[in-house]
Amino acid sequence: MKYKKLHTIELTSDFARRQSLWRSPLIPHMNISHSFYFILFLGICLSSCKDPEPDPGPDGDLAALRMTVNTNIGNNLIIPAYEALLTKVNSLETTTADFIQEPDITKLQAVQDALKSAWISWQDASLYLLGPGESAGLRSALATYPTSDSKIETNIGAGNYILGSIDNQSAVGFPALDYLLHGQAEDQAGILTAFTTASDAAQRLQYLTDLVVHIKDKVQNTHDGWIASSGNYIAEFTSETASGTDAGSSFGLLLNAIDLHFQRFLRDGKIAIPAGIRSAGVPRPKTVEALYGGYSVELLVAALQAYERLFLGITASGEDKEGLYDYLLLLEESELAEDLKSQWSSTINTAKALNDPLPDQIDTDLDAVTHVFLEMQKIVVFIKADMASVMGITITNQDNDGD
Amino acid sequence: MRRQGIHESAMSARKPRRFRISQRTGQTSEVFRQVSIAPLVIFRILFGGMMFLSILRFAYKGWIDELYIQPQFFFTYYGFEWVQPLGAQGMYAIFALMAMAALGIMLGYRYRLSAILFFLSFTYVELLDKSNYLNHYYFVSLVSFLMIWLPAHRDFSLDVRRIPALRRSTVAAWTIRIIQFQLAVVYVYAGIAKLNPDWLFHAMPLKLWLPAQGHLPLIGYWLQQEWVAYAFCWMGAFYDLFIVFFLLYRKTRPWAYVAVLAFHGMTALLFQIGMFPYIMILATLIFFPASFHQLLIDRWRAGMRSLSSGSNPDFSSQSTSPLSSPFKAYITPLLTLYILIQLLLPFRFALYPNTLFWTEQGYRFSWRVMLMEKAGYAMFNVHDPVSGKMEQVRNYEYLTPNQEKMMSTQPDMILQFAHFLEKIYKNKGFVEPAITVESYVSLNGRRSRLLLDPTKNLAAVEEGFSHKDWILPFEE
Repeated sequence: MKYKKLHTIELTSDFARRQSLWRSPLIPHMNISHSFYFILFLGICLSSCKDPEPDPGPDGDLAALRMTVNTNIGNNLIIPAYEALLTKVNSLETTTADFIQEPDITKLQAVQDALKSAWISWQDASLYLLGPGESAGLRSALATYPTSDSKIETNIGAGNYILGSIDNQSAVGFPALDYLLHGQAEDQAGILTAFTTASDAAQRLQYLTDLVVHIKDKVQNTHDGWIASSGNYIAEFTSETASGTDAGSSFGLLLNAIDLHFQRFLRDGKIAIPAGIRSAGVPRPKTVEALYGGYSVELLVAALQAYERLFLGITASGEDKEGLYDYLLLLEESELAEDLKSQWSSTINTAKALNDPLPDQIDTDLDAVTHVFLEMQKIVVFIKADMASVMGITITNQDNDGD
Repeated sequence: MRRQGIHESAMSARKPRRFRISQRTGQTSEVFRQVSIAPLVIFRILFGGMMFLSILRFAYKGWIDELYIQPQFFFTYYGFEWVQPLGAQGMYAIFALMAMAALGIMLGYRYRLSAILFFLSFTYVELLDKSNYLNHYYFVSLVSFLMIWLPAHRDFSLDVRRIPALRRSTVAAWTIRIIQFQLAVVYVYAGIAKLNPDWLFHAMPLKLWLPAQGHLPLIGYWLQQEWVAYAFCWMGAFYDLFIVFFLLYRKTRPWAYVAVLAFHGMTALLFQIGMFPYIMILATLIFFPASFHQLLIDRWRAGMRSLSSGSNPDFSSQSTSPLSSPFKAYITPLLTLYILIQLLLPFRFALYPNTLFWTEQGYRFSWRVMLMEKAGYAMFNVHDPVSGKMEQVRNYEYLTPNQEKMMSTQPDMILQFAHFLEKIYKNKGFVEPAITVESYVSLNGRRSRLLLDPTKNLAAVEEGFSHKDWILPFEE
């Protein structure tokens, strides 16, 4: 009956005349003018409820906080992390150049120090492999370990090599430098000899330079990819369109990136594999990070602290701003937020209880190492189950359909 | 009768229509009553077309590789362990075949063969891996199975163009009713599944999912309001439970279809559910009267005629005799059987103790759509009492991230993976590997807790449909 009434609306325009010839195929009872009014009606509805005053209700504005968190993480954690890494890698480059000019023990020590501080700096950046870092293949270029001494020696002997090739992933990056700068001989004098009086000293110096340049290039690329004045990925990362929680959102990318990194590279790479948890209980101490330099635990602690800062939103300059913790609070998940917060600090404390060099620790007190592993497993549960769940984020590294 | 003008068709659309699927008295007439073939023809075209697009999209997204070539382990269905992937070339060939079959259905070209090939290839792919189970894939399998038996190609098809004698203007009513029934099952059971405390009284999981879309223009603000999540839950349940009845009833149909558009449009916007909303938007047109579908066909024909200077012969005005099937006697019992299975299968969960959402015993194939947010992490420990060796498994070494996510919360998949690990570790020199799992699961935003008995040696547990007593009870 209602339709009859609507029929009486007379339209004299061209459009109205045409509608009598062409009924809407979707809804036979409803002709075009009805559909038109309906859409108009919908449009008015939607536009009238547009942009009301933000309501500081109990839930607050989650979308706005996500954007704030993204902005803080992007501008105050990620970019400073890559800036610091680039600075450290630059000084690695200058100290190396100095050393090559005129190799001596002091200059060797300077390169070794520069390597260590660059490597520690990498721990702050390595969890953020999304966007530019991911596409640059930064991790495989910088931090594939255990490094292959024999492949490095083969490369040096051959004198021609492509450091960017997949085949050479275990012969480049910080771990390869670790071998060259710490692992070629037992003591400093012996290492210096390899670069000075050894028959292939020139080739060794060349490989050293090439490694540093390779690292520098990759870091520069990723850094430039992020910053506003160049690749400007930061704009995408902090944009409103990326402030959701779906597969392509910044939260989605970040959670997926840390899920992958934390399990494979932090938990397994730094602890589980050397401790033998993945190899029938037989420890493999030679697989530790920084095997020759002997500061694996320092790197481990730095990596865990980087996570804690990300979680709490603590900026590179030490300011406590918005992080995932604050987001959980706004989600009214304060219990989870506090539990995870204390889990981070207890994990860091168990890690700090370990002593460098890690292979010796594994030898003498494996239980302490296993303890760190178990603490890290609790974090994986928090990330994969609790946090992913309440944040509504799918950790699959894929965009799949659901139902 | 067949060549209705626009006004006539509008008139006939106003005639009251019966919509009882079966009534004891006069059942025969309702099953075999001759009705216009037009709705079936349009459904065939839309379904085939949507399937073709879905397959293209699937391939374009790289999912053939990601889901069926990359994985080294597949979670097969119990009893279908023999369904195995065919390698890269084989899988691409299967999808190519599936796409061609979908086109065949759409165009009505060697329709019966196309429908059979489509059903087989699609169902084969779905059976490969539980990780990829979606209710709407199950729906597609069922509908394509039904279409094998439906004479949907007997008008407005390439088959009829090839063999004009195939053409029929009418079909038995059951051929359309069965599709309507299938759609009704999807909706009504999805509605029934929503009648649970989490959904109705805690707005879960929408309370978790909607605020995630708070950045959307216009509606973003509202999606963050808690009452909106409740409203969506209740409206969604109401929609699912009753939409079919509003679609069946002539007077409510136009508004019901507006609701279909709004509901599925909304879900398409808010959730990552792929083609499903669009498939349902088009599939529900089957509830519209024959005159509507005939109108579409006539329009198309008129359009084509004006393009091709009217040289095409037009068969549509010839009257035809009804189809007669030698299997007519079997149709009613077989339909009844199919309907019974469809009606009963979703209730099989009631045969198992404990909370369905927690144990997921009898969860699949039951139209439980978007009902829960479940995430977890399963740590597998392998212990060999003979050699004393112990190891914890790196799941990612054997599973894709998506497989691992799906496995972590579903006991039957955890068991399958445990059995796979048993084989792997036997090859690694473990004599009698005992596999235990520590699996933490978070359901609908609750804190994670142990899903399974962490002391149970899963290597010693048989797969099957019997109750898994090693699932720990769900406690609020």
